[in-house]
Amino acid sequence: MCLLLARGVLAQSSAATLEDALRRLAGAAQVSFVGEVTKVVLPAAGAGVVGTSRGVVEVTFRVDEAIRGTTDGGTYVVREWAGLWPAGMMRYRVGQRFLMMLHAPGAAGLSSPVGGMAGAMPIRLGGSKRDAAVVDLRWVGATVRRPVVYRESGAMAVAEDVSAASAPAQEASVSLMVTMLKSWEAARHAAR
Amino acid sequence: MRLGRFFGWMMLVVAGASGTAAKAAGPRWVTGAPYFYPTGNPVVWYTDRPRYFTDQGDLSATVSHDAADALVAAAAAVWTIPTSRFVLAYGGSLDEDVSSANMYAGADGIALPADLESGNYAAKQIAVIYDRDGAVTDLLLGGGASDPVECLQHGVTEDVDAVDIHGKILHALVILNGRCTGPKPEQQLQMQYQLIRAFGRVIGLGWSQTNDNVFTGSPQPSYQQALHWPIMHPLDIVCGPYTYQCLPQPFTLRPDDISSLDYLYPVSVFSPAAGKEDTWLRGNKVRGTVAFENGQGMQGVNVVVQRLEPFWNIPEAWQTVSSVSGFLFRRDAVTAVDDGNAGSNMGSTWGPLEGYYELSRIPIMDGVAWQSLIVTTEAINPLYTGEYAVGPYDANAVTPSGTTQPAGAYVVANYSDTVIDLRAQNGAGGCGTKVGGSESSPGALAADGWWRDVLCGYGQTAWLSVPVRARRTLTIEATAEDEQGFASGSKVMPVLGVWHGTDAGGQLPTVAAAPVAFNSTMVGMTALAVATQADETLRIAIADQRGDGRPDYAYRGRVLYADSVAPSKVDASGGAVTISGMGFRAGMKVTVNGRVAAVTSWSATSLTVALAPAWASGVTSELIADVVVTDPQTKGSSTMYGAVTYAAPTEQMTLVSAPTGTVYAGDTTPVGFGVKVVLEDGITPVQGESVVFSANATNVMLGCGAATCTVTTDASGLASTTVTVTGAGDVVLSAAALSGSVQARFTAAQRMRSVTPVQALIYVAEGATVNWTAQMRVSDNSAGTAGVPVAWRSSAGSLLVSQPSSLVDSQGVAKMTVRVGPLQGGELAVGQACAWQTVCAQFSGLGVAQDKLMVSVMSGDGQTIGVQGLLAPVTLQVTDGEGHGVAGAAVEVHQTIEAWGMSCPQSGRCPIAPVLASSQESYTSDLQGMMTVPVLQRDAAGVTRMAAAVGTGGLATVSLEKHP
Repeated sequence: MCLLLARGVLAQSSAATLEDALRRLAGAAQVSFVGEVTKVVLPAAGAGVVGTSRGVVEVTFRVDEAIRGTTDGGTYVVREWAGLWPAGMMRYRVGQRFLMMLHAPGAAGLSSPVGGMAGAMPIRLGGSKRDAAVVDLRWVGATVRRPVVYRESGAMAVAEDVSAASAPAQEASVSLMVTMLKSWEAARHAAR
Repeated sequence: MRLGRFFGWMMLVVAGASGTAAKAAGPRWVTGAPYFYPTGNPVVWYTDRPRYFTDQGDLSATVSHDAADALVAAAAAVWTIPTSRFVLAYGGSLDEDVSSANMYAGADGIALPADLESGNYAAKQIAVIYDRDGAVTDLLLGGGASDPVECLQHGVTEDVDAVDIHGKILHALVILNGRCTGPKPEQQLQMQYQLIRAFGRVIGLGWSQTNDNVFTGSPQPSYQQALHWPIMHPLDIVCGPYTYQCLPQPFTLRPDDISSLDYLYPVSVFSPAAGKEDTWLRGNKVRGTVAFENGQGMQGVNVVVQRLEPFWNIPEAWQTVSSVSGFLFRRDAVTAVDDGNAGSNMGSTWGPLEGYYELSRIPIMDGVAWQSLIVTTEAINPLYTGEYAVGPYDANAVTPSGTTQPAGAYVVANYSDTVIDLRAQNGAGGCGTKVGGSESSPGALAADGWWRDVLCGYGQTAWLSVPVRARRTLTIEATAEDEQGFASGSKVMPVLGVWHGTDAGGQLPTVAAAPVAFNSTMVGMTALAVATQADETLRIAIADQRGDGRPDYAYRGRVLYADSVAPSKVDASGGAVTISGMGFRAGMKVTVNGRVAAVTSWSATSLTVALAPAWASGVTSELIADVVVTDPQTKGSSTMYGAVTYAAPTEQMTLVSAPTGTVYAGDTTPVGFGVKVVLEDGITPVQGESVVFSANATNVMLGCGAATCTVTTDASGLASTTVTVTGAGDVVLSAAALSGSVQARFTAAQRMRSVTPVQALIYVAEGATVNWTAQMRVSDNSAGTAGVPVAWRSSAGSLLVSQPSSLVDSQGVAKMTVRVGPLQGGELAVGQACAWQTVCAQFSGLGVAQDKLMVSVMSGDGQTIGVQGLLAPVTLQVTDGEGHGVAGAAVEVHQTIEAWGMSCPQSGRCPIAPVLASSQESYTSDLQGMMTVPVLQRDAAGVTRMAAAVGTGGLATVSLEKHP
């Protein structure tokens, strides 16, 4: 017997589709761009008692495609609370490219991606050809609403290939994403 | 120095840190060098009973302080269980209501209230902040982060902000975003659920993958699987606004969560505290290794266990507990390529831990004393990386190599500790022959630039050397491959570094580096472009981004390098050359000076290409060209700067136009003398070539005003000059340049022009005035004269032209009416007609005195006709006595008709015939002196006698008969 655990409340605040999820991220972001990490400055390891709660990590991006809040060809420095970088977890590495959707810097100048790391979408690089690069939207896809349906109990069923089962083709070309986000941004401006 | 970097955690030795953590599944962190000692231990709290302290304020307008405390207590209580010695208890209140008033941006970072500082850990281990208005969340995560739309991500924020060098957690912050609460109970329940998970992280639990099909939905999960889906799953299922509703019993730890907690904080069999029981009193432990066929531990494999009831051969249809192999082993290590890897403090490098797993506590089924277990393996979901990583491979999941057979532990009762080593089959076996050497003695790169290698041992780096020339670029590619030789993004993560061969060891790449793997569009490929400055030997390193190494870390390497071209000098027409180098394959694209050169044959070390003619690129002089070899598939390329020299193209000169035939002096030839200079292709014009034009004689003047001129070819390759003939003679024109010379011939002739009067002189009777149509025959040997203007004028005497000019008619004659006279006898009046301004002729009128005038009968005299006939007119001419007709002379003519007379008598006077009629008339001679006089007529027989008198003595008579 199947049990549906949607509990009757299909969210009005959760995304119904991947595009919906992207729209929500884009709408929340005050700074958006496609860029490459060029520098990561971690807080210096101090002697004695050092708390990450006080520290700041500076991540410098070269902005390849500005969408909102920055300009093409420049650099953008994201100052993140060191609490987001626990135990040396490298959220970004020099040389990596991302489609970044960021909160506006707060009172302390700190920021972070909207939607958690869903707002830092990795780009599988395409060298100099932008169209060859794709944005990994799997983390964004994980925020899309879906019903939970259980099968009738029985024998163990396991996925033949975890990779295949969990990695749908949730990706899009960078150019498509940039075009789409810019059009949304233009529409947002027009609506003001 | 390549040193790992660590930050953020306090480096503090805590004396007497309690507890001995067993090595089992699920730690969030594991100690590693250089900052932790000892290594290979899970990072746990320094005390088994850390206390949390809550904010003095309310959580929100709808959640009071007390209600918030109750919510936190409920979440914390989940983690206090009998089988773990860990107790998460309330410790009291913080010293303040934390808000933006006391937590703000300070001069050296975020300013915290003193009791929230990590240094205060001895008094307050976990600070729980009620962020009523979201200001603290916004302060730390950015403006808008506290917005309710982001509650699934930022409803609860945790930060373990102090760990000592022995791997003991000292302090943590937990921030509850008050904007995520509200009047609906579900909102608080959602926060409670998120807080449970956050506490799990604070306690030191990592994410876990057990019954992952509950998350993926494939295959469709059962309810029991959902009941065994760990609370510490990496990513929530989003089925609605509240994710706690997307799993059954969301506030209850699963056996897997308990196993992880028990692993970190087990209860000793010897001294269970009050309310605690021995961890394995009702549990089994299974541990062992997952290994490659060669025995090397295989890290990153999810090991799961299913239970079987006693005397029952079918395992439960869900996984109970999981552990990731190598979870205590090194996560990320410093590599030769990159030292910016803060994760290098995680995990031990002790070999036996590389494939080690531990299913720490598998609960024994209720009501039985023993059970059996089936252990199997699976891959980690590749989505679980970075912050959501399960197990040690946080940068990228690694697909297990081969398969392991399910292994059983049968009839295991309490306190059992079973070792099951799993050996993969049909996967990567041995390491093969190592290609690279060491950093100090790198191996020589294969001559063809292609190689296959395996970064087999942990931390292995392949070191290779390759000689290169100056002013070259090359591309180094490393493509991860799976066991079948297919490119893979879930095996080795190749990173590349390049040094000068003479560089000292132990330093980061000095020439180029690709410290992040998979920077290419090709699956599994990392590429690095390198530019050379001098002839040298480069040292290349290939390593795994994580510093890892295992038998299934095969990669295919290539150095795409174009070294030289032979011949290095070619004609302008191009031709075949051979590019020597390495890493070539079918389909390579070659460009020379930016133009594609066809590849006619290839091998891994050479390409034969047909160079296009230099002029195909518009090149007109010697060219030193760059040669670029590109692999269209990978976009890798190699450039040889200035590798090929094209000779200057040979030029050709062709005649475009030249004078021909006869050209008359004074004329500029209708067509000039023109040439075109082109390249060998006969098409491409040569601009800027100096062409010397000359003539062999002085009777020609060229465009520059001399007999020799130099003209530069234009963009079309054209040069030309005008040719003007100044005298007669045969002319040879020459055009000469570096590209050759051409000649042209023509004949120059004098121009013959004349103006000749048709009648140069007329005679005019003295005192008379005549109108004369003067005519000039105008001729030109070089051209027709029709239309040539002729100017007329009087130059002497009484002669008047009616118009100043007239045009030559089609007969070559120009005419003008002239009035001549009156003149005296012997007086000359002269006029002049000129064509082409300078070619002139005179015409005149000469006066003839009256006494010189004579008249003579030209015709009509002596007519004898019948009476019925008519006598024809008589023509007279006035002359000057020398035979020249005189115009304008007045002639008096008398005529009488005498009746036909009777014959004379034989004697006596003849009878006088009667005059029948008479007349007297005046006539004027025309320009020839002529006049026609009608004869006086009567219809009767008679004799007409005519007498014409002119001047003072000129007389002529005529007798005409009309006989009966």
